[in-house]
Amino acid sequence: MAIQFSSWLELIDMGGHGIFVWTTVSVSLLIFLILVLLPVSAHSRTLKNVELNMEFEARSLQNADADK
Amino acid sequence: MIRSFFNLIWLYRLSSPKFFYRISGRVIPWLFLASITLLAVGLFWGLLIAPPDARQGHSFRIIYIHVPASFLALAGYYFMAAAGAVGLVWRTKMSFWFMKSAASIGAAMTFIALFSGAIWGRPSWGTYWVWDARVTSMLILLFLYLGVMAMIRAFDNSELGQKNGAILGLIGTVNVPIIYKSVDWWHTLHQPATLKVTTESSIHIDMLQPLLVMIAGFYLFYALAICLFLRAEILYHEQGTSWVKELCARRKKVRGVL
Repeated sequence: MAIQFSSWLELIDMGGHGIFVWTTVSVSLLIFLILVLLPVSAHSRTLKNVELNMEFEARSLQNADADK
Repeated sequence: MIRSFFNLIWLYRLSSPKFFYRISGRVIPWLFLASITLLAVGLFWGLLIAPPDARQGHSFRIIYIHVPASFLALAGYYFMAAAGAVGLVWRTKMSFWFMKSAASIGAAMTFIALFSGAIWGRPSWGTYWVWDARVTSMLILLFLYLGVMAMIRAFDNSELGQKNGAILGLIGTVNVPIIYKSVDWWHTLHQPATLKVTTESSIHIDMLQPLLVMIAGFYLFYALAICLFLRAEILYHEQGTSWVKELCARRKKVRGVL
């Protein structure tokens, strides 16, 4: 149980295979990030939409009262 | 008997959008914490501590992304198809929303599996892409996921789209056992399975342990993503209902206090 690499450079290079390993890891993490951000942004978009609709409804109710 | 009875009740209650929305809201922070922790530990262990492979050197470390992603790509297809079947039989809208969520996440997992496999192919096979039985059947899986995603969205009548998507998903399940068996039926380039349930795995314990951590992390992340997608779907479809309006009113009040 020891770290296999003695320096940062060695860790990045991984005996010439670093480019393959780190590309895979970073692309996968990027996709994971997208999988979190997509639904979260859709969720808040809907919430905002509902709030706008509620405000609109409340205002039109007020206007209807004022017209009376 | 009694236990399975209670389990069914839970399943039934989870098919209520409002109930699922409330429960998942409480579970999500824990799922987030647990999956991030497991993925971080698994990556650190797999990329830095596990010994390099005797033949492949350090490029074998791609296994810690490739194998868990492939697991979820295949298991996720069963989840999606089963949800579609439940939706077709019992007409529960939640099952169709689950199917839609699982299709997007499954497609992402399949893409990760194919992409990591292609990158891994370069140092170990000498090429990014081969029309090998395993690789080709995984590509078909990606197209099936994309097909289900497109089918769900292809109709003005969303119910019709969901039903057709479910049927396409069910037909596509025939591909999943073919993927599992492809490395045994056709002796092409892809190596046989590393992890086996019935016999001893062909991987050293020092390399296996971080792999198991990564698989657990991927499963938890999958559950997290399902919860997030399903909540967005629920809110979108239920935005006209009174419980969503109450939820928004309560949020507004909280913001007013802050």
